[in-house]
Amino acid sequence: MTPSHPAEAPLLDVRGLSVAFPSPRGDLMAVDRVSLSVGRGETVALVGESGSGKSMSALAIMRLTPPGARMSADWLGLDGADMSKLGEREIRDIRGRRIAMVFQNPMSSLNAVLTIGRQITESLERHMGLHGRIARARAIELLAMVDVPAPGKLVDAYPHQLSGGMRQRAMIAMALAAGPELLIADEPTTALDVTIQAQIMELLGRLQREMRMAVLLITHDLGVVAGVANRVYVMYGGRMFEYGQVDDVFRDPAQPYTIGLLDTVRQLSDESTESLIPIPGQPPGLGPVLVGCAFAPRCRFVVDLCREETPPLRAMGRDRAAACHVAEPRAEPA
Amino acid sequence: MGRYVLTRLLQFLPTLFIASVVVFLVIQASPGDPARIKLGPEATPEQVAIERTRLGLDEPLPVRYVIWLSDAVRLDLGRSFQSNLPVTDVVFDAFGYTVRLALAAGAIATTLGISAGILAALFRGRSLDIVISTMSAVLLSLPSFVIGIVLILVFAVNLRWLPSSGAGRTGQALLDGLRYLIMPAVALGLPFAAVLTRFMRAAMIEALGQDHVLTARAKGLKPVTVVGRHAVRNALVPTITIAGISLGTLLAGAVVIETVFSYPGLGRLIVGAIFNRDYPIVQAGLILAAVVLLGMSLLVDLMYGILDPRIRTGRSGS
Repeated sequence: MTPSHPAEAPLLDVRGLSVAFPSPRGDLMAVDRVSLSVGRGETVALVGESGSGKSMSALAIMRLTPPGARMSADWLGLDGADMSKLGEREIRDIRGRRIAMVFQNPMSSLNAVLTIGRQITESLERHMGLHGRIARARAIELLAMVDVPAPGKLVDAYPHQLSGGMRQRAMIAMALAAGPELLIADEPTTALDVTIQAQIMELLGRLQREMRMAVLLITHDLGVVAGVANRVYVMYGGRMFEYGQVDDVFRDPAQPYTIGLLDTVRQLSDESTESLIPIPGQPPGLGPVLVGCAFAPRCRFVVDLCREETPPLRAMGRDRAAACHVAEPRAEPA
Repeated sequence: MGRYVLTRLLQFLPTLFIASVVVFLVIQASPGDPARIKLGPEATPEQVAIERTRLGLDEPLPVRYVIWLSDAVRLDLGRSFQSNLPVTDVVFDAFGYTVRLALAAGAIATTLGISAGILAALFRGRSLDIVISTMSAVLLSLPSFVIGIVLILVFAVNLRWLPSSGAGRTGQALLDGLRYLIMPAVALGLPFAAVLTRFMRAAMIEALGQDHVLTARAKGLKPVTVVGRHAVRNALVPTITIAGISLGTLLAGAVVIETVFSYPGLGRLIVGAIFNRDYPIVQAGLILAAVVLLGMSLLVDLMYGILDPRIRTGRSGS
């Protein structure tokens, strides 16, 4: 998990990405002018709670937003080329080939009526031009790479014959079929048992190193982020709230929401605390464009300005920024 | 798989036995004397009595049933009261025509219904969907005999393109036979096509919204592949069940359609035989219909297993 060279243009460079759902009350903003970047071989975490827009952002990067959604971006860069201008045919060549995706629920994300092997070979057929026995042999190799027992047998198994962890491994093998440069993993461990979660994260880390692949990890689990990611983005209410190096953000979060989020995790690991200090209130639902900070109703540092003006992302130190009127730039670690 | 089929076939036997008893009792309970009907109103009571003895109607009911059953298991179904022809010949002749009709109607219903359902789902909410859904609603509310009569009026009476009744001569060219088949098959098939359209549309909409379709799209697969491999096949599982269940109704519909088109099938044969109290024909015809229905349900179950591996391997997904 080597960090990207700052000089090099990032592999994925998203600027001003929005996803809106038109409605009679005006556009409902699921993602509101979000920017993020992922360097080659880098692991970046995109953190937020349910409804924060993190999964929708991932789908929008793949240009896979649901029907009815309107997506726009100033720049959707992949290796310097803008994907937002590409036709459907061209973006299909990128999907699965250069950017692959692993989804949250490995049961429903696999097709129940096709064998695991078939679901891998169809990617090999589409992107690698492999067919028949050669494709099948490659599928078995891919399954071996994700550490499943007896890949030669598993290739002919149906998803329902596998455990959740095995299904997610198969799902990862499928995503890696065409050797993508970027893997978007959308809550890859959320649907799995805790013991399996660690194994899957370890597998993803190993594969990422071996294949020199960049990973955009979408999660609500800050514990996972600390272990694997180089940089972290925090989303709330469809907006980008804070980003920076994982070490910096975790040591000294700037945005009050990030502070609250980290507090809840620290309490879990700190046995001296008796009770959980939750963030009061509810995250915002899908609504029209908000005036002011989306977190203002729940924020303990709130001032009048927060309700009147949307805070822009401001630099909080080297390589880090937060969208908050109250936060002060952070001191460099000693 | 082989054992499963064998078990299912063995399960048919008790079902068939019960069906035969019910059919036997219902026919015998219906009023009217086959001997009287056969000889006509002019016959004397003595002549009728002699005819009754000749037909074996003097024996008590249970005895007659046992005699019939013991003959039936040796595939001797007796002779028609009316024509005195062997029942097996008469029934199987008619059955052949009905099979042809049902197959043609089934083919029309499945191809039309499934493809229209897929199209409606893909163009959900747009004009093509609205046209298809409206047409299927209209066809669904039209009984097949109405469609049959309309077809006769248009294509037989006005345009004179197709024959209005019968099934043509035996030994005719295949194409000639098809001309007799088209209208009854369309009339019988269209309402089922409408049923299947609605089911396929709903099943496709559900399938298209499933997570694995998003996975397939995220792999960069072409829309044709996504729809064909990842939605249609999954949507076929529930639709096939409905198609199989509908086939029973198709057989019932065939009775009416065969009457409308004077088509010499099993349905028309049974209806005629009931009017004539021709017990052996009715009996054999209904039992054959029961066998066909049971066979269809087995076929549907097998299809189900082919389409959905979770059923084939007998383990449920979690």
